[in-house]
Amino acid sequence: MVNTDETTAAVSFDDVRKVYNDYFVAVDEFNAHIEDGEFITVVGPSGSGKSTLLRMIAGLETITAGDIRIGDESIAGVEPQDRGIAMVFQNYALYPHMSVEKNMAYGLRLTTDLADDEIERRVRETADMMGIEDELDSKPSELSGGQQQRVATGRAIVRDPKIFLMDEPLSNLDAKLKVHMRTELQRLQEELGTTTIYVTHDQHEALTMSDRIIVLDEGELQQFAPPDEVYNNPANRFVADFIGSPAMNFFEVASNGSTLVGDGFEYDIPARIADELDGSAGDDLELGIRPEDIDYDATGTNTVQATVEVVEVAGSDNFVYLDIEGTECRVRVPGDVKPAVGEQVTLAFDPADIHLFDERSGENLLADLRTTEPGTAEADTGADAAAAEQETEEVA
Amino acid sequence: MGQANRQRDANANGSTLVDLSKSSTREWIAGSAFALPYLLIAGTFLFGPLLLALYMSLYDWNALDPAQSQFLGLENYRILLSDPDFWNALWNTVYFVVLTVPPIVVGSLLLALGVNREVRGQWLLRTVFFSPYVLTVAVVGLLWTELFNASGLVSYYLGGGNWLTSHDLAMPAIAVATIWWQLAFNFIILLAARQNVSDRLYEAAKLDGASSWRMMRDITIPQMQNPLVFVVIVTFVNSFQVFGQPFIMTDGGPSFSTTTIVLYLYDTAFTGRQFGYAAAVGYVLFMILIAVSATSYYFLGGDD
Repeated sequence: MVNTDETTAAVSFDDVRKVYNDYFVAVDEFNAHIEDGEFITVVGPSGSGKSTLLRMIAGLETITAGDIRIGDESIAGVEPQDRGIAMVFQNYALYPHMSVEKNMAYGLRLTTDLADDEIERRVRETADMMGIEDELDSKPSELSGGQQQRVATGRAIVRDPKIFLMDEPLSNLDAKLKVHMRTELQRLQEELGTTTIYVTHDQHEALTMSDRIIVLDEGELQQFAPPDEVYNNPANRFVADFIGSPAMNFFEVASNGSTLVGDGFEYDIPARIADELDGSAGDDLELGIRPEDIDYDATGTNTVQATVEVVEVAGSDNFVYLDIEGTECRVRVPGDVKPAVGEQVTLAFDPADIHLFDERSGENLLADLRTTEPGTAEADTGADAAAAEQETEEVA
Repeated sequence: MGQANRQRDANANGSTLVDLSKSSTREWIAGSAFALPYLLIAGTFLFGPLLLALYMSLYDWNALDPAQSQFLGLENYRILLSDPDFWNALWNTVYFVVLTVPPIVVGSLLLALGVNREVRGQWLLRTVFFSPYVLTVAVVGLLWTELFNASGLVSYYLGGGNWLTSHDLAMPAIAVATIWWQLAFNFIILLAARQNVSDRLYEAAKLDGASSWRMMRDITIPQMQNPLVFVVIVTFVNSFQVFGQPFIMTDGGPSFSTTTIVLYLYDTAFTGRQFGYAAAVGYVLFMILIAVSATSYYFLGGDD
């Protein structure tokens, strides 16, 4: 049995692999270490293996190879109820025929020797914390989605686990409630200090909630880093494309010493970037730049000409969809900028904001450069700003 | 507001009312048209016979010339209560119900839960378990008559000679045939019900520390409550109404030990020509079924 003395615990994954039916690899050679008390978000598209990862920690899926440790102990052979974990499911998985109180008390009754009045006290205390104290006698079907979500979270909290596992717990809520519950979950996690592993396909949740983000694709770890780093310095093209809304712009380019040549434009790069590219990729490069990093209606040299195709009005910001010789380019502009369709505009890319990817491997060729660059701190604010803006859009 | 405007508004409101009234009439006609086929069929084959039987039960009914029937009031019911053949048939039926309802309900539940597990050849098991239900009562009766006769497989392995001519074994033999036949229908209903229970509930219960037995008690059974109530009631009704199996396998014998209420009703009506009295027997059975269904529903507590 996993040590239960600690109130919270670290989690380590050592070469974890999950294969279904001897052929489908859901998680492959996954290695990571989650610190005690961290809020970790696992993000990725459908089928990327994020829920499988969570379910292996919970004991709902067997581990094909490798090991997961909670604290210092391997969870191999440890029953789910003895792992010191509690899980919140996507559809809450509340027992429909039991009252809220019974739902919350069920785990305590089965796994502890606590007296009934102590269980009742704990349930009431947690229900108070979650704001559902008046609903203890209600059945789940009598509650709103938000209340059901609170009950599911309360059911996890009342067990006082060392680790919270949350499998897309907010995905069934409407946008406004989702933003509210997101804040509430963060507040609870900070209050309780419990290690939390939170699975979502929603990059906004990942950016706004977590200490660090695990990005998965096709069962493989793409990046494990704080939100700012994932946003500003993506490890590869997949992460760059998946994180951020609207997505990063990509242009196929070839390197010609200090110039990148794409369809319809040439872009001069500074010597430090050219040096970084020296000897790599050559013709098979992709230039990436986020929509908010593009200087719209620029003047001077080293610019790119584009034609306005669509203008999407989104309140505080507008999104302008441009055509650069057959390649689409999205630009985020202030709300008062509304160009006419067909208008010719001039764009400029700040070299500090560009990303260059190896077209074949997807690797971010400037990752090391940006990590050591003094200007990175400035860029770091980008993830927060983008997440805040996305949040505003969601509520709107 | 001027006089002209008021007049215009009044006209406008009037036309809205007329439109609403026209629309609700159209809806009523459409609704009735959809309900009519059911009402005609149910009226002709259910409610009509039900009322006619009640009417017949108050008469010494003359089937050849109903106009000659003699009104008896509740006399048929009074005779019935002191008729030893009726009581014999009633007790035989209750015995049959006791022999069949628990095994059918529990057996179909266990089969459904067992087959729901992911086992190799699952589809084959489902097909095998369901296949008896497609047989008619005549086939089931003849098949089991062969199995239970003196040279059949049952007496070969278990002894007892011809079970169907044994006073003690005839009813259990009919019960075995019925369980084999009726299990399939309930099995399918309960399998579908089990498959409707979300796997997430079991996963949540597993994390809460529930054993397999606790999951069965706390998740499976409560979640299958309504289908279980349905299965219990339908099995009670079917068993109380048993007719085909004893009619084919034993014809009520030996010495009336397998004469059930419906078989007695049939004999009274079509052999004894006492249609009024048979209708009274039918009505008593009807009342018993209502009482049993209501009791089952009350104790098992269905939601719907």
